Amino acid sequence: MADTGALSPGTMADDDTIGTETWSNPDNAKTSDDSYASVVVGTAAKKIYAIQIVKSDGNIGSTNKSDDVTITDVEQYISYGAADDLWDESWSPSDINNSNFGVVYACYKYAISHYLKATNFGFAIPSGATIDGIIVAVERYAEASTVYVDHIRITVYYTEHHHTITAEVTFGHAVTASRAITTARSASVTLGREVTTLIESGIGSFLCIGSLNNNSIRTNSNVGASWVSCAKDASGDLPSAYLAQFENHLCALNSANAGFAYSAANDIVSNWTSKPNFPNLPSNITGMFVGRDASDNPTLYFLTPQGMYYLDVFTNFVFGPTEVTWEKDLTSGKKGLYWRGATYVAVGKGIYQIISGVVTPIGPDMDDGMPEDLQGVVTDMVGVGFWLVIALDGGNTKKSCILKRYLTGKHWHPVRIGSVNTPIRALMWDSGTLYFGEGTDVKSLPFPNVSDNVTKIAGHTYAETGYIIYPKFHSDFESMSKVAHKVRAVTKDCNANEYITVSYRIDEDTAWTELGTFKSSPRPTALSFPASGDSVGVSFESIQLKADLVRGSTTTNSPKIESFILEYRVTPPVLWGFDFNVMAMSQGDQSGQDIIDALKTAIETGTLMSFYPTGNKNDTEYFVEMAAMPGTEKGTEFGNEGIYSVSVSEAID
Amino acid sequence: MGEVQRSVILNDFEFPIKGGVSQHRITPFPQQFMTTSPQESDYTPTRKQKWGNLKSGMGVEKWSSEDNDRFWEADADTGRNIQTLPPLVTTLGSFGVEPEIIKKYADKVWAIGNNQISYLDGSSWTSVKTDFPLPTDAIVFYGVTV
Repeated sequence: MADTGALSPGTMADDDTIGTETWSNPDNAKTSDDSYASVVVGTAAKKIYAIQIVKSDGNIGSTNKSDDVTITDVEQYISYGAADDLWDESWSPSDINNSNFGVVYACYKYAISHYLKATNFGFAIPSGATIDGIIVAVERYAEASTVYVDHIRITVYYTEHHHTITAEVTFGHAVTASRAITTARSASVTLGREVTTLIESGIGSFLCIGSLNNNSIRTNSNVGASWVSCAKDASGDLPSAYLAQFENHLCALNSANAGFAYSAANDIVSNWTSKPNFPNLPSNITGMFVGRDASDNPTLYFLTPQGMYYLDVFTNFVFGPTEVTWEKDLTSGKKGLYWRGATYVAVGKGIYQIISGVVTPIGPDMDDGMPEDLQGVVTDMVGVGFWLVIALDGGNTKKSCILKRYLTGKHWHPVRIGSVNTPIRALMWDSGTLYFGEGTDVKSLPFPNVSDNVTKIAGHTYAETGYIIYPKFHSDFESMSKVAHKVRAVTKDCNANEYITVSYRIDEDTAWTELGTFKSSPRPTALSFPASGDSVGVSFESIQLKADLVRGSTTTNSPKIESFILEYRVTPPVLWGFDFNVMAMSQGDQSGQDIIDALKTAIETGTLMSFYPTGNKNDTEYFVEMAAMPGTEKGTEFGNEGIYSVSVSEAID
Repeated sequence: MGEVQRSVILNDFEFPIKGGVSQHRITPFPQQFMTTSPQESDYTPTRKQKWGNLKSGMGVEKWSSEDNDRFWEADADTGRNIQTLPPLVTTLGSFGVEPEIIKKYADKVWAIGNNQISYLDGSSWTSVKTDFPLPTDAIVFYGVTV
């Protein structure tokens, strides 16, 4: 195996495809000279967000070598990849030699940096060579809020294919080849010559498929013209329901109880090594994948309906449970995935995220739960850009759907809401398109990798309809009734063909009442409550709004909502106050002092008091407090006979 | 002309009064001192609840001010500041059985289901194997061929 030596980039750039923070002086990372490219991302514990290969077509490779390790304050080269690590790509020499080939590097703390993009390394790998591996080394350190990069370099490992041709040439005649060369008659010459082959031979890719029937097949025909057994040894086919590539071996695991096998390194054609009693777990196995353990070492895992197990293969042949176990549930363990520094495991309706041995449930059933019609079982997961994408099978009673969660986010967004009794599974993303199985169909939808903001992507195609249901709004005045008056909106691209219809439902209503439609932008005419009749408003305790978006026949058009505004009034209960003058004077049998004492008792009463303003107990009764201290008309001190002004008021309805 | 009112009953005591009882409506809201610049809502009798970006995602059924960037349910695109229609879904030909695995291999999209392995050729599927039941997993492996 040869290598190119560590080469430096000819071109450096700040690339704002991701992140928000700009790299200063990117050209300073061309050489190791203590002048730095730098970016400010926040104090303490800055980490790498992305280190990915840039391919010859300018696209960024899907494999991200970012780790969960804090960038230290010691300047040093940190290497990513290996001499036998192709970063999950297939490479030809021309791919590597292309000036677009390179690497992007991004870091984060409180903010995510742009890519620091290094290309144009000037590789000159011979055509016909096989690319074996790529190592990227970044010389960097972090201090205060800033990450500094002194140098980026790449080493590519490759193997040339040499055929030695030994030719014996006998010249039977005197030949004058040129003015300078005259060969002797009957000369016998042996030529030793090395020829570099132009056609790569003996290496190729296979599509390998496992099955519950416990055998597997493979093809290396690009049209599937021929299939043969995949996992096999001299005795025949080996159990191989689940497949994973681990340390250049293809590994196969039985779907039930024992049965494990693995191929030779880089060779699935030769007979495999069979370990028929490993793992001897009395349980159905539902998946196998490669992740990383708490020490960040690559590890082979398998899944069952009650937990995730590690497999220590090739040497010790032991397995055991990880920290991720759960009550037995046949809907659990459908998928495991190592992606961007974390392991994700599907556990029934939810997903566990495992980082450095710490398990965190990340939904999607969180907060107020999943909407009832979307309560499915996670069947598949893929990482796309910075989104974790999952498929949920709703079975016979719920809608199946596809959801996505941003790497630094906490919650989930819809990608596709399907139908009842039409399972969604088998996710696969390629070149800006998400493929998935829905029922007996394979479907696709645009899932761009150039920007998450689809409004910035020319030619992005939209579905005909879509909806958003907002939370039930109750305002902070929960104990008071409210009246809804208008819904306003700021929109984009709304017209007679592309429009937004607003509906609402009050309190415990389940049916929606259509309020009206926004057909202009940017500020369409407000919609008034109620939907018909005088615009007097609609009383509510809680109100929920729904926006239905519709487009015309042009698939690249979409109405857009920038903001949605509910205008309402709080209508508090009516409380009453009463003012009157008490005659606290002795008259007939009534003592003025008794009246004064009664006033004093009323003043000192902590609870509310019964009050009949008409003086008739058959009339309306109010419960009041003393709103103001009694005072006499002529300034007499309290306690003396006279006329007292008294104010009482209701404190609560 | 009605009879002159002579008493009220308060706290089970009948108080003789002079003149009538005046009744008035009171507000439950205390007066407030403003400590900030006037806002739009200070000039109108109505209050406004605004939803702008919904980037924090689904799953909040009952509104709270701290989760004002979330929603309950949707199929629209809510990933960025502006909400749009969801992406257009295209059915790729007719595969015929529930696909268990979809893979990219040899620059083609392959779908694998019960007794059905096909690759996508333009807008239709080319079936290449129909006798491999109950597929569970698939992988593309790069290695020696002989």
